[in-house]
Amino acid sequence: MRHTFECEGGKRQMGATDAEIDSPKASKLVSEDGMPTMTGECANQGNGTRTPRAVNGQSSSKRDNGSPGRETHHRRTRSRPTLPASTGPSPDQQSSHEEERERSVQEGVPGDISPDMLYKHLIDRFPARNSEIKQLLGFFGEQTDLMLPLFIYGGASTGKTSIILNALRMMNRPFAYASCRSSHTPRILFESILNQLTKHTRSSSNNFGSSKKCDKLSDFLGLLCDACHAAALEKAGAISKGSTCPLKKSGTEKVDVDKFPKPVIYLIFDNVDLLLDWSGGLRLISALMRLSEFTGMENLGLIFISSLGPDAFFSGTGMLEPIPIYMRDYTDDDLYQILLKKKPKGELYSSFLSAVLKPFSRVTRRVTELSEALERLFQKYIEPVRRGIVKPDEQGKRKLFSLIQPHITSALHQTSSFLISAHSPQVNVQKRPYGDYADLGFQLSLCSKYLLISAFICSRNPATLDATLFDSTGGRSKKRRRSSQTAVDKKEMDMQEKLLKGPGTFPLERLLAIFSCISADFSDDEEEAELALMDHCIGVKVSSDVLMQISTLINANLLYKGSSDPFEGAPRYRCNASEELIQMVSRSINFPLSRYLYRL
Amino acid sequence: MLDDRGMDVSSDEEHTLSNNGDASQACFILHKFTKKSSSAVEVSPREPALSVKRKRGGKQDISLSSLSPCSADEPEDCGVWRMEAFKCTWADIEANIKEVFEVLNTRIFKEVQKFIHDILFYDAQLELYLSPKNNSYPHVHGNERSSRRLHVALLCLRNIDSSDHTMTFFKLKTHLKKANYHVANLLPHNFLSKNGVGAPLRSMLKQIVGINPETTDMDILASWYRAESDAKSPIVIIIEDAELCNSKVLAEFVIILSEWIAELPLILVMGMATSGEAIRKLLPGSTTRHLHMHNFMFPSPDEYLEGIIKGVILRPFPLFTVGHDVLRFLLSQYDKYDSTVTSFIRALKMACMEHFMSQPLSFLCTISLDSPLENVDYLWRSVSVLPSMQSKQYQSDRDVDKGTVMALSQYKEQKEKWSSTVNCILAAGNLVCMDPVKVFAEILERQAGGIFLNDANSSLNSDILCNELNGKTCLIPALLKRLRDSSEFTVNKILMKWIELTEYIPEWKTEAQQILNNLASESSLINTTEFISDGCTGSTRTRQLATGINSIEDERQESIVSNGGSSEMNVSNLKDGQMRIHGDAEPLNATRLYGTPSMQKKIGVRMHGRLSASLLEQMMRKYLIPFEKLPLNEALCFQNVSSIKELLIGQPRQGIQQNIKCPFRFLKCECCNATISSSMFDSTILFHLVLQNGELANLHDLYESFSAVLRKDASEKQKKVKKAHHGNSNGATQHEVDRALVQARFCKAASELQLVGLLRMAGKKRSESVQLVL
Repeated sequence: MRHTFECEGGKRQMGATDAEIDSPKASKLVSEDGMPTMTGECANQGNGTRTPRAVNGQSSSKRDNGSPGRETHHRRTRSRPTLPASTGPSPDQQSSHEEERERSVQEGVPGDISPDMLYKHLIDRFPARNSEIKQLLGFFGEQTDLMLPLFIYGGASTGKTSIILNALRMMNRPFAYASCRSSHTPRILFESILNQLTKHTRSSSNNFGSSKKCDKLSDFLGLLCDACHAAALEKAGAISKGSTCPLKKSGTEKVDVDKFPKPVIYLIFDNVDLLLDWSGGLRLISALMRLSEFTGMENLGLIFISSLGPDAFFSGTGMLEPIPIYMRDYTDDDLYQILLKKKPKGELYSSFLSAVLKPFSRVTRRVTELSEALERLFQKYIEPVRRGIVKPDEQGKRKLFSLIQPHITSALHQTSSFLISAHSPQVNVQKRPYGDYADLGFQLSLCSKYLLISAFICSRNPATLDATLFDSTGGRSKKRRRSSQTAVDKKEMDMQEKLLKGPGTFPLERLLAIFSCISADFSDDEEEAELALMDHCIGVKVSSDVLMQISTLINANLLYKGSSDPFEGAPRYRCNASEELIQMVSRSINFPLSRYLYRL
Repeated sequence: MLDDRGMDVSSDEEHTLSNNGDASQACFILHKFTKKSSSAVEVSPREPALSVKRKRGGKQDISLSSLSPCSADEPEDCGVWRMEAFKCTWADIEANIKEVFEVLNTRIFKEVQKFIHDILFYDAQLELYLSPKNNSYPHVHGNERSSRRLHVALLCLRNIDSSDHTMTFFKLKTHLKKANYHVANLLPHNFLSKNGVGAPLRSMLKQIVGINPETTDMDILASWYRAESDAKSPIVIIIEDAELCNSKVLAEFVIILSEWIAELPLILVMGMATSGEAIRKLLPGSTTRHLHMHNFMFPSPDEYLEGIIKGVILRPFPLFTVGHDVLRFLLSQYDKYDSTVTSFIRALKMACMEHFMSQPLSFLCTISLDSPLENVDYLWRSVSVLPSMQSKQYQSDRDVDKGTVMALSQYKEQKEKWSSTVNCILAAGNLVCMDPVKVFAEILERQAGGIFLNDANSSLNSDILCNELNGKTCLIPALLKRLRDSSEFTVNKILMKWIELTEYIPEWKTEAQQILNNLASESSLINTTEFISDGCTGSTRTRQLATGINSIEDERQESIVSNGGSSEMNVSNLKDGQMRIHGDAEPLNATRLYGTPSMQKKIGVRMHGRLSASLLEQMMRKYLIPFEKLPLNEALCFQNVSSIKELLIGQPRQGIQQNIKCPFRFLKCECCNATISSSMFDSTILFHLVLQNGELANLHDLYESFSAVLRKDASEKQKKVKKAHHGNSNGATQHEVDRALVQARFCKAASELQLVGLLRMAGKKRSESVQLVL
């Protein structure tokens, strides 16, 4: 892929309609051979020349990746010959490119990093993102180059936000960043953008307030104009002061802003997929997309970052679609490179990675998670080497691999779940092997244990069986039909279906009835005859304490209470506890749970 | 944790009790919460300032009043004394409870603090390590740092009912604030779905920044933190009882926090009622991915209760004692219903209050008799009437005075010994891994059954060592058995602990010291013999020794029988036997008698285990005397189980039923009794009728019988009226009016019962019937 920057010669207003963008006038502006035209020229084009940027070359890779939704902007580039797909610039191209860059630095961009260094730095920082970074830098262009809205999307931790922010910071461009997560209301979103543009600092003197109160979109549009103007003025001032720009009129201290190309102000909206959940979110997105149109400011660079693709936003809405850039997930090779980069002394690590990365990358492709999970495994891997049992040569590596293999599966399970590291002294638990919390981890009173078991029975058994199980007079019918094979199959199907459906719901009365049945059993069986004397059959009576315990169980999320149905009347309950927990509870009070569970 | 609100309730209650004089009528009056004037700084939701003020106000009122007299002839001073005694006793108990909680909680608090400190240090190191020194772009965020996870300390409260921990988080906040951390305390009601994520953010900003922000932008916190002069201390956000929060709002809140982790040193602390694993159910995977969790365990409720038992109930100082039956009842309530220490403490307070309310002489718990008192006549008269003091015949007041002082000191002494003994049993149980709460419950049970009593008639061996009590397996015989078989190390430890605990029983102390000395000297002896007996296998010798020990055992049995129960001599006999072995062994070759050193060592230790077990057994018999047998127990020991049961067991429905069924108790009506008559309340009549009808009653039949009851009286009246006015022409219309009235009364009664919830319509299909709900 060649690293090219182009500019359109024509004069075009940002915020033009789709028809204008697609006009032949626009498409002819791309040079015929696909070779770069002078970037420096763009900067030097002088007063009032507006240069929306387009990038050639990248479009082919985009199409290769199968990304959807590149229509309006890329129609211009499609007619062009496809470039040979190479991962980096060829040496000769690179050298010519470097010259151009140097020249552009000398000529136009004062105090900034040279684009080539920038590219190198970014590539170094974000390996396996060469094409995307190139594409982005192409879109950014120079300080004053106008830009169509960008829509960057891709999975989590693929570097969307970091690349953009890093690039803009290094290029020293004016930008405002707002995450729709932290800015969870439109007001915070607007005010955060305005604060950043006006360089407003919250302090105790202004009661940590924003620069301007801005609640509505209409207010925002007005305020944004002022804020951008101020920011542009400042930036332009900086340019004019520090540069050898020919436009600077020596002798006049005041900068005539109108005669300058206005520097582009970038507005970055992160996590825009969250906006879909807001009330009126879609409308807000479409308004944000057309901010430059609404405000009449062409020097706005709008960047939207989302984890959802553009289809979720723009399909069938007739909105102006921004240019999509897809951050694909890292491949195994990319992950290998990235992880290796994190370990400076990597020979052993690289052999380790080649052994274990494949199964792990199937579980997660997030670099952060992977590196954490692999780090633990790596410690185990190199332990024999540390102890001096195995030498780190070829044979040793094979031995190490055979040693680590049994640990891989368990480590794989740990990546999917998360680890909770225990801090409290374990002595605490070990000291007291008695009691229930040795198993459960928490304490339940006797009453709530019985309640939990009865709730589980209610949720598991069909209500029609209660009489058979708990009523001594309504015993089950002795006659049993001989079951045919089909009947057995059907039962199995039913069983599976029931398990898939999850626990059933039940009314409070049924729970209490079963509770009094099984707790009556317990007071007969074992418990304190003298206590029964002291307090007439305390295990059976449904007092307010029992009802209190039910509400406690609901609070602990072990029971679920549904909202009361107007047609049904009383609310229905459901047992949320897992079978393992119930088994533990029933074991702790010697309750024969299996006797009461109906298995199909 | 002791809840301030709980204390308020009790003091209110106390007030009402003092006015009404009837504990069963205690009721809670709920006042409307008066909103404080909105101040910029939000006080933590559980800041006790408000309640303290209220409490003070309440106390002033109470301090003026005295407890109402128990009997008609009780002088007023006694009420004041009792009030003072109650205050003094409860203040002491309360202070102890607080201390227990503080000791147990502070350990966890310190761990959390250390964890936060370590995390920060680790992060700082990591940053230093990762950031290249020649970074030409210092303004660029470190990628590693932004991908860092939010550290969460999960505090497992280990009880599904978190009411023990209402004050814990507030204490944690103050503890962390002392370490100069910025702390915000968020409650579950901050995380409601209707308010969204703004509410917890707002509360957090209010608490940390100290302003009432216009918007809930995290940027406010960030800019405040940058401006803060004593920065670099972490921001800790405590979420109490995370399981009660709305999971969606909580998840959003957590993600927002994790977005700012690069700029702010945020650390989350979450209280989890059940276990740390529950967070898996609570938060979606996309959120937990941002978290790095660390588990912390609070002590379990049993551990708190153990602390309360050791620190409050087994403390000898306040002479006020809770009787065994009452304690057993409280423990069983704890075990069966809501295993929270808060309710146990509250019940303890109720018992305390009830005692000082109902016992005229209860002030003897704290008042010293050395200083001259007024109304002494009354005092001596009441003392001499007490059943426990009646065995001694007092001639004069002076005798009574002396007798009382003696009884008090005897009681005190006995309580000291009792507490020491129980403490020793618990300590031994702890070292051989037994649940102290269960052991304590069993001690109470046995004591109540009089099993420990040194009764000459009872066959000693069978009772204390029998493995079953009321059909349950017992812990104390098992404890003694384990003590006998325990290793040298354990025996040593137990003896050391006993010596520490038995300051009130010098004889036990010396005994334990002696066994310990023997053990020490013997182990050194064995060590020396090991050299001599090297390579010698003496199975026959071992057998000899074993038979020797068996003979000691036999002797012990005999001596027990011959002593008729008093096992005073047991230990000395055993020791004599042991000495005899030693004495015999001396002239012989050591190796010949002892066999292999390891075996010999084992037997020697078992010997000491036996000695300590028998010592413990002896002490149990001697000192675990029920308080009910002591003089003056009526004044010092609360034994009324039924009254405390009435206060604690909530059966509101039963109360309502009872009151509707027999309202005569309140009305003091003598004409009505169990038979239905028209003079009763309409609802009472109807309830009786429904009860007679069974579960399902036809509405029309009910009406008929209802009107029949009323008419029976009315017809009698009418007869009288007729007699008065001969030939009344308005009879028919009067009858109509009566019918309408009866109908109206019936409807009113039925709807009253429906409202109370005792009656309901039977259903759509049987619309003519009503159903009784009991």
